[in-house]
Order: sequence, then structure tokens, then C-alpha cells
Amino acid sequence: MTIFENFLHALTPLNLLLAVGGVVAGTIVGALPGLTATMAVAVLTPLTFTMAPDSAMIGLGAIYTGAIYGGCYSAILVNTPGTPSAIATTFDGFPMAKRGDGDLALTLANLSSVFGGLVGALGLLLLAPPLAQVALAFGPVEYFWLAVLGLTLVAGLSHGSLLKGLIGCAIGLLISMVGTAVVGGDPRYTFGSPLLLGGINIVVALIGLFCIPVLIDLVASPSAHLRLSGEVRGYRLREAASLAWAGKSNLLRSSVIGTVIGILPAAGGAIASLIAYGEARRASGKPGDFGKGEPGGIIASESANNAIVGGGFIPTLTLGIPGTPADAIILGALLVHGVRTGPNLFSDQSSIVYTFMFGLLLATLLMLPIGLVLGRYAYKSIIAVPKTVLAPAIALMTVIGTYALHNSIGEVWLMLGLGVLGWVLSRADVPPAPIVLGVVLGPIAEQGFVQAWLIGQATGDLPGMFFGRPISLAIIAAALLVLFYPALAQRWRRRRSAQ
Amino acid sequence: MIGKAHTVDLVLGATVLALCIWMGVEARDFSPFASLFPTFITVTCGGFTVVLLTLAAMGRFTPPPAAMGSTIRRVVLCVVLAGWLALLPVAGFILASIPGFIGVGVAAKYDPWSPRQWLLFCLLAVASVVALSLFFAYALQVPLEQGSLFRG
Repeated sequence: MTIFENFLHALTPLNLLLAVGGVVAGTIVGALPGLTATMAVAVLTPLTFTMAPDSAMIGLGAIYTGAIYGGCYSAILVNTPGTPSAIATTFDGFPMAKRGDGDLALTLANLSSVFGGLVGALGLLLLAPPLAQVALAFGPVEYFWLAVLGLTLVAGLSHGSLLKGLIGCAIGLLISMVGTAVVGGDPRYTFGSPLLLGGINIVVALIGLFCIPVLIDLVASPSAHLRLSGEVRGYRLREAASLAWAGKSNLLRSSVIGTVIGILPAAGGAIASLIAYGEARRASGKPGDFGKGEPGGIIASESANNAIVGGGFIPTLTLGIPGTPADAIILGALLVHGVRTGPNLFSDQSSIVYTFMFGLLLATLLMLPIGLVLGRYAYKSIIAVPKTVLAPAIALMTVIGTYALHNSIGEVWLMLGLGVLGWVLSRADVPPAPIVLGVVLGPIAEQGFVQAWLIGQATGDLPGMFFGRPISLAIIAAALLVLFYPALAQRWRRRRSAQ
Repeated sequence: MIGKAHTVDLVLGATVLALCIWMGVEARDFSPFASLFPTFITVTCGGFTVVLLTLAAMGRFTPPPAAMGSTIRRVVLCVVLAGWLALLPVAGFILASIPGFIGVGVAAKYDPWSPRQWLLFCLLAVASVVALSLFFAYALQVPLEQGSLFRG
């Protein structure tokens, strides 16, 4: 089969139907806090076992890309990221929604997600084998420093003081240490409870720390959740398109960042979107507007997190190393279908792979009309629903969504406890985003740190292990830049204005 | 210049520092591999909190804005949520969630309601809980809690 024939094969009615259904299902699941992209892919994978391998892959890829995109709905409208990769979207998305521009924020997120998804899918289509080598260049110490970079970024970018952001990250890391140790296997800080042996689940922390404080503040005042606009403004597509065009370099840069970070197994969309957000703020002429409803923040976060879908498939298909948990499930489904991933996949089973890649491109394009319609519906629902219905609906979703993770009422109690803790910490100006990212990146950071420590000790060069490798040094330099750039820039500005 | 110390920051710093000390001491009982990262993080976090306490004692932080709105409603919400969760293993998911849904709605209610509005709200609560429970139980195959009252 030629590549053009593979393209035509991706356009069969069944494949188109799977792409549309996958994007719709994924977007709805991703929009609901507690239901993750991984869960959506896992639940729907058995349905694909009777399909042809390429159709199955198109369906799963569409669900995955839709779920990553869907995370922006709750991030923008309820200040609760549907998935960890939408954490950075809350920084500007919710302030935009609060001032009455939620419709514009959703349309902008849709355009950015589609663009980022296309860049990631094109990267997969055109550059998969050479880009896969990037994943192999990262060792344990690079993963440790990458996690540190992600944490410094979120500490520096969140609202409030840098020191409190760093303390938030450290609290998240402390929470991530509860449970069985990643290296060593000891039970840590479990108080003998079987519930805590498995650790505190990322989604439990995400829902608790973001959703419960929103709920607590929602019931406290009679004012509307989001500002209502008197006029009917449609999708505001033209306005969003002109904003995206004005931020085209941000869009392209963030999409490339998302694709490259997506290649790194386990790094995930949260780091990608934060790095892209930090870069967008640094490159912007008005960095002070970020965090207050700046459209550039949404462009950066959403284009980067959807670009990781294509990027994440690169090591999955070429090396057999899944980039994300959802990729791991798709990899399992591929093995069931008899598709052997690895360097020879592109020659041995090229027709399946190329049909899937075109299918992924198609699903990403379909996200544009589907996302606009669903986003409009979600926005109208959120602003039309009174608080007396909105608050219990959110509460019901948080309870059932958390329970569904492991069918555990204990985890729902944990979620509530973390939520109350999150609200108390927010009163002390410690934002929730660094705490959640600490929980997300804790296991990656610990594994990288301990492995690098052991290798360093075995080779007798511990400082060289942590500070002597070129990629590590580049990441450390970026982290230091994130930490000290705002203070240095302020000092330079003061000195210049004094002169 | 030494300014006014802010209680919130001092309490935050002292609490997190105490947590770090406790976790650091506990880490000494773990195996060498398992204690490495907790020791590193508790020391780092302890350092941050010492800086925070010093700066807070010097009054170098802008005090966070006071919480706006009704504290009683916040407390009521937390009590309702806790009651909801306590009822789950006894009454099962559907029966516990209907009063939970209504309780949260009441905590967020500011306008007086007519009996008809009350009836509609209760019907909405039943419909929402049943619909979502059926979706999770049958579409997502999540075995929802049945409740000890209904287990043979």
C-alpha cells in the first residue's frame, strides 16, 4: 500500500465514524474531573478487539486526543483541570471566564489544541524515527532535573510569592512519598493503613485540591459563578482566530515544546504545558498580564498539551516505550492486535502505522467543529445553571469520580481532606497548582534521584553524575533562569528607569 | 525594616517545619534507598520554611486577603460532604447521594423557594443521582457501593 492509499484507507466510513465517536467520547470524559484520558482509553479498549488493527488504533487515538483537549473545559469554566495537563490552562482560562470571556477562552483553547495536535501528529508522521533518539538521550538524572524544572516553573508561574510556590511544591512532594517507596519498596508514612499503601493517587489529589476549594467558595456568596454577558456572541471564532494569529509564534513554539516533551516517557502534558506557558510569558511583551486572563497563556498551555499526543506515540511506536499511561494501554491493545512495535514497525507493518497516523490527523481536525459545539454547550450550561444546582452537581461528580478510580470510599475521604487542606493553604497564599504538580512529579523525581545517586556512588563521581552531563546542565540552567529571571529583570528595569 | 509579623505565614511556616521534622525523623527508620529522597526533600522544604518564618517575622509578606463570604455556609458544606461520605457505606451510593445532593444545594441556596421549586429541586436531585449512577454502573462498569443495609 502506498502512503496515499493509507490516507484513503483512513477516510473509510467506519474509520471516520470511529474518529468522530472517539473525539466526542474523549472530550466529554476529559471534561469531567475524575475521569482521565487513561480511564477513557482503558474502558473503551476492549470494544476495539474485534476491529481491524488500524481502525482500533484510530478509535483509541481519537479518544485520547479528545480527552486531553476536554480537560480545558473544566479548567476554564470551574477552575478545575480535567486532566493534569490542563493545570496551566487554569492560570488564565478561569480569570477570562470570570470576567465574562469564557466563550472566547474555550474557542481559543479549541483552536490552540487543534493546532498543537496537528503539529504533534505531523511530527509523528514525518520525524518519528529520528525524534525517538531524544528519548534515549535522557537518563535518570535528566528525568530528575526535568521534574525539578517543572516544579520551579509552576512555583514561579503560579499566583503569589515564589517562596510559597516552592513550599507548595515541597508539600506535594511530601504527599507523593506516602505509600510504598518507588525504590526500596518500604511502606512510608502509611500509619499501618492499607488505604495508604498504594500512595495518594494523582487524580484524588487533583480533584481534592482544585475542586473542593472551588466548591467551598462557591457556596459562600450569592454572586454568580461566572460573569454573565447580556449579548449573544456566538462562538467568537473570528476574535479567537485573530488572537491565535497574533500569537502565532507562541502557538508554534508551544506545539514544538509539547511534541518534544511528549517524546520523553512519563514526562507528560503537565510539564509540557508549564514549560510552554513559562516560555510564552518570558517571550511576551507584557509578562505581568499572565495569570490575569491573558489569552497567550491559554494558547501556550493548550497547544503544548495536545501536541504531546503525537509526540507520546513516537517512542511508543518506534521503541515500544510508552510516553504516557494512556500510551501504555494503547501499546497493550496493539500487542493484542498482533502489531509488534519497535524500529521495524515502519517497514514490517507500515500500512497499519500510516493509516493510524492519518487517522490521528483526521481526529485532530474533527476536534475543531466538535470542540466548538461541545464548548459552546458546556459554557451555556455553566452560566445558565444556578448555584443551587451547579454546586451539588460538582460535588456529585467529585464524589463519584473519585470513588470510580479504585471503588474506594477511603479515597473519597482522602480527596475531601486534601480539598479542605488545599482551601486552608490557599488562604495562606499557597496555590494548589504547585502542590498537585509535586504529587504528579514526585515519583518521577524520586526514581531519577535515587537511581542517579546509586550510579554516582558506584562510579565514584556523585557531583559529576548530577552536575556534569550536558543535558542536565541545560535543564539546571533553565530552572535557575525560571527562579531568578523575574527578580533580575525587575532589578534591570529599576536600574534603567533610575538612569 | 522590621514590619508586622503575619500570623498566617508564621503558622504556615511552623506547621510545615514541624511536618518536615517529623517526616525526616521517620525516614531514618526506612531502608537506605527508601529514605534517600524523603531526607533530601524534608531538608530542602525545612530550609524553605526557615526562610519563610524569618521573612514573616520581619513582616516582609503582604497579608493574604481575608476570605470573603459566609464562613457558616463553608462549614455547613464540609459537614454535609462528610455526612454524605459517612452515609455511603451504610445506605449505598444512590440513597446516600440524594440527601447529599440536596444538602449541598441548600448550602448554596440564597433565595426563598416556593413548594413547587422545592419539589422540582428534589426531583432533579433524584434524577441526577440515578442517571449518573446508572452511567457509572453500566457504561463504565464501576461497581457502586450497595450499602450495608442492603447487603444480605
